[in-house]
Amino acid sequence: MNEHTDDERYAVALLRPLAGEPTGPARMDVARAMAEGRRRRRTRWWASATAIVALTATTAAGGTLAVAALDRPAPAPRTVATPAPSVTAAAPPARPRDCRVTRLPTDGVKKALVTGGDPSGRWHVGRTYPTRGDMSYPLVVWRDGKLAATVEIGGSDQELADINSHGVAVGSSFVPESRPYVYADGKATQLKGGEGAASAINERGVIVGSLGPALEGMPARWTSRTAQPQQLPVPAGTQAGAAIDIDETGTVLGTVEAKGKEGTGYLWFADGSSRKMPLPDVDGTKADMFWPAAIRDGWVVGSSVIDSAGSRSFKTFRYRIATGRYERLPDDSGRAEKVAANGWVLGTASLPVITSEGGVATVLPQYPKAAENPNYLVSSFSDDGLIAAGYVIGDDVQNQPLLWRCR
Amino acid sequence: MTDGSDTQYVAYVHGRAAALRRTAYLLCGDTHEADDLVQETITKLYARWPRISRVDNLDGYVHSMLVRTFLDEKRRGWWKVRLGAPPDRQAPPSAAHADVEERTVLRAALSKVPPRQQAVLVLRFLCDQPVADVARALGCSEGTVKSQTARGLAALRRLLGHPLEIGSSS
Repeated sequence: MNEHTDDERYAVALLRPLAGEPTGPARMDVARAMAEGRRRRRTRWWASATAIVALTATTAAGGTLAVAALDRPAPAPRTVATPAPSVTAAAPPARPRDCRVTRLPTDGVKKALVTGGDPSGRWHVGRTYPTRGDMSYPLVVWRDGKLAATVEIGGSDQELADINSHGVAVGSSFVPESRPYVYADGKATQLKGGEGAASAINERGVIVGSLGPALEGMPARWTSRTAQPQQLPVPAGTQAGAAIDIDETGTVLGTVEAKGKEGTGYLWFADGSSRKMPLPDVDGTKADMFWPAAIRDGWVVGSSVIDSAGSRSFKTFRYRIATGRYERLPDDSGRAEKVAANGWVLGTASLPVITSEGGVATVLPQYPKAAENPNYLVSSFSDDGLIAAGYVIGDDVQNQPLLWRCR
Repeated sequence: MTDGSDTQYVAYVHGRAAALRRTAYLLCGDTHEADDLVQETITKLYARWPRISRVDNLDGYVHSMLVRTFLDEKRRGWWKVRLGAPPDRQAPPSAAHADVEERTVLRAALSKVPPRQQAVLVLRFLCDQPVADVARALGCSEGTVKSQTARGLAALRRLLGHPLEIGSSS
């Protein structure tokens, strides 16, 4: 099949002496790769809108692997949680009602997922998996639940992480290093600054993400889609970090990782100041870390992390920047993924859950055609707290992109 | 929940280990360095496994990760090459003397060629990969692969002091 020119025949002959096999037994250490890979994954999965399942695996003394859901509450949630009694409200407390689920269209492609959405709940972005045998994926944009565009970005493992209500989306692709991208007016272009990734865009078009290799970059901001990136300031001794979300006021949410440690929440404000997020108190114990997931209208949601001998526990919190106060959400809320402008929190337990004021949890309906053992993941929540999107993956390993609408 | 992920990862890595190690060896010419490249590649693979394990064909992607890892290592260690530190390498004991010398000279010359050109030359002419596959592994166009090939060959010839005719080989 390879038709060589004279030059190429020369090259083949020239390099032939280098052909050969490595000698001795391979030193490959799979257990070590998994331990180190798991550490890198921990800094990534919560920051990634496309993490399929957050898994932890521990190597037991005997060398066997125990795989368990990381922080999903074990008991299956009730289909609809009972509202907490409210004494002050004469009217019934506001909460999402009559929630329905639909599968987003994918033009015949069976496997697809939703990776982000805009504050209006009208735009969503995702990835499809046509069977074309490589790691290159067409990205898609949905508007009002209909397929609006297919986006081809070169490279592999592409994703769109976020989109604003003007239909401008951001994401990244490996070409072969990770590169940040913006999609606008039907065209995808690389953001300036070289290696990096874009994770969020606000209504004004300010983009945040990271610069440098995946998992080892530093937090960055692009003030527009044509701007040069700005490194966000980090404390001395920071080895890595990333900006993961941005508010309309310009407040940037992210994490910084001190040398030899895992990341914890960090805020950068529009006035140029920045600070580490405080660590929430969990039943009298100060958390070791706070892993933020999203910011909206001064609210931050995420998980506290407490390490004790041999185990790690998570609790879901909502943080109000103005007051500096954490509020622990009931375990029914699942793991927080997004927060709406009205303060409602979208999380995942066995099913997606919206937690409205007073800690009232509303479990979203399951997708009737989901395969056995479904795992639901959510990546988008509208400002009114009534439209959520995400996907389900079950034993058939076909991701189904889903949209929930409530009244 | 499927128990799948980790089990599938281990099975996949064991199935691909020999091929990865061989490609890594051809890229860098050193068994120990090849093992390091494979180790780093399978670590990166595990870090991304929950996101990519469910595709039909992973081989191309993993191959690309290996090449990328090689290039990263080269970039970091580039100053050593520039300072002329000879690669420390052991030839298989069975190899004849002349072969060893030829290989040593050739590998030293190749290591002085820019890393991307090294990768292109090895993948195309030692691994006999089509231009399109090399382009995919490097994440560049086929045109770039061709121009990098030409530049890499020219550099190698210059370093070896070879004339332009087709080289004789053992």
